[in-house]
Amino acid sequence: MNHEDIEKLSAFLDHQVSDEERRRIEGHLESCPECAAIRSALARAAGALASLPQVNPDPDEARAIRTAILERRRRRPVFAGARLWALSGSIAGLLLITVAVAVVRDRGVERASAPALVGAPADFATEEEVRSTVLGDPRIQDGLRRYRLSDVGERQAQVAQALAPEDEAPAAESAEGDGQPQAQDQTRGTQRSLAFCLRSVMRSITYPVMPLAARPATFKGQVAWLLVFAYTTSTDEDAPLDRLQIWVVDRLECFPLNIQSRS
Amino acid sequence: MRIERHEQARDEALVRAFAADGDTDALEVLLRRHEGRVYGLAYRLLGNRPDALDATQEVFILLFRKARSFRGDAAFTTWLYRLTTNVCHDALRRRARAPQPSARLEAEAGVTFDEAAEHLEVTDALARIPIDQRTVLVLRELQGLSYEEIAEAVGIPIGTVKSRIARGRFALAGELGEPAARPERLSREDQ
Repeated sequence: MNHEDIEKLSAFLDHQVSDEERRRIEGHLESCPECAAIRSALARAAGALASLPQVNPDPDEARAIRTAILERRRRRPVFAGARLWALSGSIAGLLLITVAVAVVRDRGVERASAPALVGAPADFATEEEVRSTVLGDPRIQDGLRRYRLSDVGERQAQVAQALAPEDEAPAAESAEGDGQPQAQDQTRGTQRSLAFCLRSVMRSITYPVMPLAARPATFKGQVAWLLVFAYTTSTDEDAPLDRLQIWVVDRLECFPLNIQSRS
Repeated sequence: MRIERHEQARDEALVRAFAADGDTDALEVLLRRHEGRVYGLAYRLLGNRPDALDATQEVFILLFRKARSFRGDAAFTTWLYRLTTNVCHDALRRRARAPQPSARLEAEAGVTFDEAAEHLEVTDALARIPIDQRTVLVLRELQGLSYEEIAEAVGIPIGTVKSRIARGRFALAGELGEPAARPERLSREDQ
């Protein structure tokens, strides 16, 4: 008599055989004690395993898991490995921008130098340069798909809270040392803070906008802030922010230097 | 409240929310959904709680580090099982000897002493079968995966899944003292 092979019997247990095979095997098992014993041994093993309880982490272990993950993230602030300089959801990310623009040294962030749009010049001569630099940055494209209208309120509140709300520029800002000619600044001497400019620009835009990125730049020789926002024209809370507003504003009065560009 | 909002979110979105933005509410929801299955699998593969804990931490840290390379073409849990299996197999290679289950009975609520003793016996027997067979068995019997899901999670063909499950059950039956599960029966087939 031909015996069933073990793999067939195991598949039979899992109903992984055709109806025709199933009938044949059942017939065989009725008359073959050896195969029947094997089938029942396999079933016992499967059942014994299935009766094992689910083992979950206990409360201390659950705590340890969270601690380990958060600790790892603290040591490597940007998990995915990309150096996002765009305004991130965390306060630490926002501080990074403030640090960069105020050139305060060594706040313990991983990059000591001012973060920048990759490959982007700090000096823009034309609006086209500004647009193509911003649109060409993959991190901006990333930010574009990430947020929804419902995220905007929270982000605006974070920005308001985390950036210094002073209306006069702090002393650190004028000591920026980026080597740029400070043409108009000589007459006035103070520059507006990033927070001030963000707030004043956001107030002047009809739609709720999500601040994505900011960096100091010059535009046609004038010191400026380059500000990038995401927005949507939809009123649906779940609508993705799939459009950009790109602003270049002067640092004295946050006056737009370009015709603000939308995408 | 953000946790409620996150509870409807897809796993991939939660991973991104934590990996890119440090959203700890998203992390919490993700862990509540999945830490049990990761830890449970690791526990059955490695045989003791401390090793299962280490493996679980490693799996989630890897998950966030690799957030970008997950393309969403497999189910999220399949990918999670793949990570867990790989982490556990690496741990066993480093350990380079059979897993040592804890000698004490695991404290299990609502179980009689007899049941707990049987669980221990099965756990010991499971620890003695080869890791390849143990892996597919645990995924099948404890995590309830289909043959296809196991094939995807482990990265092997379905035929190999069937074969390992069969041999694994046979070997486990032998370790549990089933007289019909004689090794010679298996080797007779292999000829």
